[in-house]
Amino acid sequence: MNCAQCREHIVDLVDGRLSAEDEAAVRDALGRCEDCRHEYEELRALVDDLGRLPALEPPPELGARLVEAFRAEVAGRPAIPVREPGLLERLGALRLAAGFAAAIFAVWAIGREIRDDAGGDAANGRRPALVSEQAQREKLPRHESTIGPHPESRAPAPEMSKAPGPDLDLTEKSGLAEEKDKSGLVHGDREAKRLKIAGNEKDEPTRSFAGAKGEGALESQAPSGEPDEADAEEVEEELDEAIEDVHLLEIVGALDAASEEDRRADREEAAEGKLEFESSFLRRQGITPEGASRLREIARALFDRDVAASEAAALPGATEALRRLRESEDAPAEAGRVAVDGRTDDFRKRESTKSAPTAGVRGGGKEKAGAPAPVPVRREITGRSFLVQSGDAERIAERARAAGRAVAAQDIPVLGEKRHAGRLLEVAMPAGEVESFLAALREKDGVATLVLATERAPAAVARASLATPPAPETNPTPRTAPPPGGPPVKKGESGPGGSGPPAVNGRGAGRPVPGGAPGGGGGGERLGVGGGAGGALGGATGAKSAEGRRSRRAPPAATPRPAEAYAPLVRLRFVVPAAD
Amino acid sequence: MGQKVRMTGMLPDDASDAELVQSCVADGRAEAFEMLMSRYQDRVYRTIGRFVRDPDQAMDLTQETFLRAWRGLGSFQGGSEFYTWLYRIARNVVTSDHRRAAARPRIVASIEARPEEGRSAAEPADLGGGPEAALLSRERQQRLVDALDMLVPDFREIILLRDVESRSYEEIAELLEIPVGTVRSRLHRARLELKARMGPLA
Repeated sequence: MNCAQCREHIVDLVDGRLSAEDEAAVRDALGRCEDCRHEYEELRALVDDLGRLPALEPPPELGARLVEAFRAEVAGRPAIPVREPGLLERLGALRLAAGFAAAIFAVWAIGREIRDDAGGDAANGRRPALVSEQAQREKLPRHESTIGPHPESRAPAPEMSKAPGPDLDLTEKSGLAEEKDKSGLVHGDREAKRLKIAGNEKDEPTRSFAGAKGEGALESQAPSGEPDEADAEEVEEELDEAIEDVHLLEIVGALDAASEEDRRADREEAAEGKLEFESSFLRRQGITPEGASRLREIARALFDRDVAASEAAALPGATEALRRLRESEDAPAEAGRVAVDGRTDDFRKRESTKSAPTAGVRGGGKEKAGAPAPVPVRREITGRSFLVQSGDAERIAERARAAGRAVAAQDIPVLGEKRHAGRLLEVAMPAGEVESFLAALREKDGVATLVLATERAPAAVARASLATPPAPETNPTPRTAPPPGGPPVKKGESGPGGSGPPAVNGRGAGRPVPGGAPGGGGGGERLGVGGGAGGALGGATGAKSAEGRRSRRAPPAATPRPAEAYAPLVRLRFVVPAAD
Repeated sequence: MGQKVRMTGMLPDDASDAELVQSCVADGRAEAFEMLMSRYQDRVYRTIGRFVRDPDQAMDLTQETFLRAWRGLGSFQGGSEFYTWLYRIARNVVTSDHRRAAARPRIVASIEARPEEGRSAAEPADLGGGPEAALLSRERQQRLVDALDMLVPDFREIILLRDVESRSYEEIAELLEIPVGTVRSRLHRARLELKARMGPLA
């Protein structure tokens, strides 16, 4: 019996399903081959350990409880309720409800955003009303936004204030407005803190990564029009209280739930070897299974953070400022920083020092005739995270450059138990290019990738994004279209739009394409990676079409958009452990 | 051990499952179903407990399983063992619960947490234990549980059935309604993946 035959029968040997003759043959083969014997022993030990896993022992009250519930059922009474939920659980349920409501709104808002004019009419001082901010400001004065146009220059958005569904103040929910980088921490530090926060709050099962109060509150309103007003008010109060510390991440969690099947498919693919998952990979990296688990959490947190940052960047004011920064001389570094952090502090700083390029940054200023309108935003909705081997950063960066993509890089401090530092590389690109990019990395560059996390777009969003048929170009509005060729590329920049695909390399020039607008190029040349921090993240935002501006004035069905304009972007993240 | 509900009345304690089911369906005798519950409550609870590892949740899901079984008893054709049918209901109940749980915001463990600092969110509840369990170090047990959790449901289930509950291939094939050959291949793949996720054995 050769090794292949031997290994084929190891499973039967472990399970005692071999005839005496076959068993003897297999054991003989095991005696001759150390590798086979090692495999058998490992499997044997695993099965033995599984058999020794302790079981939950039925509690003494189980029988009585079941009989009581059963008799209640037979008598037509409500069965014994399951555990009475505690306050925390009730709050959790409310948070979940809020999360779902917000998720539904988010999907709706995305659709709305797609239909509406995200850029606004700068000449009239108007901007897209993603949320009814006027209503929010009146109702929630304690949460004054620090992102977006200055309150004084904000124009009301009456059409949106009548929109159904809960309102979301995107300027507040991510908490990024207050998240100033005075500490100088890299994102990994912050994520580590968030994770630690979550870990310290085990008594609140619904708390998310960044669920701590003050981290960033999501404001929402309970639906009105309940039959019982008193009840409705009570519910609204409870809801308001419960969602005080709901973070955007929980919305993401709710959205993710819709794609459980997708993730299961991923796992199955991984099991079948289609995706690379090798424990030896982890071993080579000196990463324990616990470390791998933490890496996944980090990858997850990074994705969530980026979504939050994208939301912040989705604010027209921020977008406008980003675009203008990119047009200014020293824009790259600042734009990149802004793109990564999703903050607007730097915009304002620049606004005070540069009058011409930043005029109207806050949305209410008069723009010069012919000046580009605010660049609308395209959401990036998916992400994939990988662990690669130490030293592969350069190859990834080179491959990204070859593909015309900017790479953002930043330090991350925690990589499991044996590795405590590393780099995170981010590359964003259209979904359709991802597989070929990864294939090139693997096959041409020899970069082994371990899938850490895959975030898929909620099905509804994906459908909304892809199903829209191409639109005829009618009544174009050059004033509001992105400048031909995109913003000027400065020497040393990685290209406009960071890694936002369509506009990168001018491919989006002159046509309404998203995803490529702000994002920052340049910045530091870390690891020789062009683009600096923020390039990829900047791809989260992007230009929407001038056509979108028209669509606000007409029914969405009458102004379909080019399907290409909404092809989802995918943000690829590569976690690169520090070399020994 | 759970308290057994004793049957009184005309139904003998040694009545077969089929007789009890028949008594429930044909005669509407609820006490016959209580006998069935008494027979299988511990087994169902342990089986569910393998999946959920939370005593309260296991209790809830066990209750739900039996109530669903009662409501659907008329559809039990007797083509399989009563417990097989009951297991499938329990499986559906657990699956449904997992789906609901997936929709709930997740709690994550501190990346800095260490076992000695307390139980992480992903850590199993008190699983009891004894001399045998003591043989398996807490750390390795945790790794096993974590690795099991990372498996796809089909893999996790077949490992629980075979390696944890020591069911035969034939029993598993009947429970899962798959051919014995599929049991073997799926089990093999599941173990390989579990082994890979466990990493090198200590």
